[in-house]
Amino acid sequence: MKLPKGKTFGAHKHPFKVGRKVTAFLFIVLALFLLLIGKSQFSVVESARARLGDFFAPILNILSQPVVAVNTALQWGEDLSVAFNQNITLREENQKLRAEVAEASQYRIDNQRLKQLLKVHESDHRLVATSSVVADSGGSFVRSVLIAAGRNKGVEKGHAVINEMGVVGHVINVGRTSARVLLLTDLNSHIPVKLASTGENVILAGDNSSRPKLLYLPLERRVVAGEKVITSGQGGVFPPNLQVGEVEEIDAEGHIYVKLNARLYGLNYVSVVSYDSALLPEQNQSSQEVGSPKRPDVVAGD
Amino acid sequence: MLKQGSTKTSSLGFMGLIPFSVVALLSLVTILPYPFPMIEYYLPYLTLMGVYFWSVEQPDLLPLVAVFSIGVVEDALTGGPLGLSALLLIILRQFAAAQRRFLIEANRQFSWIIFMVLCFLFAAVFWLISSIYLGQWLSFGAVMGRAAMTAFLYPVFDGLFRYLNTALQD
Repeated sequence: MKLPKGKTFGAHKHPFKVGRKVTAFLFIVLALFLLLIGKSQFSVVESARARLGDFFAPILNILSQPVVAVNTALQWGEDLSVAFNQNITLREENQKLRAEVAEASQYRIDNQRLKQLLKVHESDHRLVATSSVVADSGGSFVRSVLIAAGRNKGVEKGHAVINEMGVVGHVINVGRTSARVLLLTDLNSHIPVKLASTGENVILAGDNSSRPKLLYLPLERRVVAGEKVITSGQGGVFPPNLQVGEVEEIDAEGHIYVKLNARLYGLNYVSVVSYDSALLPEQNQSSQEVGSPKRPDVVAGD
Repeated sequence: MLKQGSTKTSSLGFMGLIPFSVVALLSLVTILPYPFPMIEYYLPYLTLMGVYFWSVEQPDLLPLVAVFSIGVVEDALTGGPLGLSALLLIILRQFAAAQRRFLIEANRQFSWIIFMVLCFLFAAVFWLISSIYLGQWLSFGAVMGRAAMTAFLYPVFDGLFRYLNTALQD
């Protein structure tokens, strides 16, 4: 940059340098302002985030293709390395399961008949969208991912997100073509679950580590490692009986750590499901009166 | 003696967008869904490397508005406190640009040491503000792990940036 005639560096403060300092100061103030409104005007900031997510989701989708390819290759290699031993185990399991299938189908018929007799209203969950994961917060502070499906695919705030292994998290922010999913491991994630063996309701709380904790278990209840944890359906976000994980460890202070079924790093594809929780008796009655048909796209009712 | 001043933006055309494009790309690459466990403990702050290098070598090609935008977008896409990355990157950029004469004249090892110090400071302040913002002490080990990995890998990226910078000046 040329200086005005007759002036040298150091003789006077360069006007452009002063200008830059002022600009830097303004940007610092602007950043602080953003931090502050992020706390107070949460909805405005979330809306802005959603718009930026919409804009960058297609770009991130393209950039993540090599990562997806590496992930697939690693998974393939992992599968191949255990295929031989797994094959022997699966053959044995298959023999046992064949015998159990016949028994289970009889139970299912009996179960359906009894439910009809008792007029049990079951809650439904339906598949809203299946989407690729385009970005991972990757940071030390937030455990969330960005998916390439938003309002255009019917995704709404609060919808549950699962993959083939179990629950992943729930939608916290939705844009037109993208949505942010808060993972079960995030500090702010608290979801209602139950112990599969007894049905006791507890809360699964994330703490930014890979193993969330179980909270609010009755004092007299003794948990053992290996107990299955599933969603309870309470709170109306997560459909009941989805696989979450199993109790892995109970430390000396009584903290109960859960090993999640779903692997939350390097997620490729996830499914968003909505949950129509059980209606209140009066709502249930009115809906029966108008004869509301069952949705055709319900994928599972249990 | 200053080896090379900041290249004039107007004379470069689209080439002048290289520093901004590189830093923006690094910012996006940081948030891809990598298939590695515990990545929050060792994923390097790639954006930090880019901002430091280009603020020293070509500050005119990485203006404040560019650094601010990259920081805000990164915060928005990661779900972190909006404005925090922008704030810290602007401060880093101003520091590096203000000391550029000194840093350019020094050898690479010294510049690397300065980067290490800045990197750990960045991580510590990031951790402190995030903890206050979220109302809970977050994992200090994770940010320090990331800072260590960033400092360790910097010479590799420095080499790549220098290659691009030479191409800009030719």
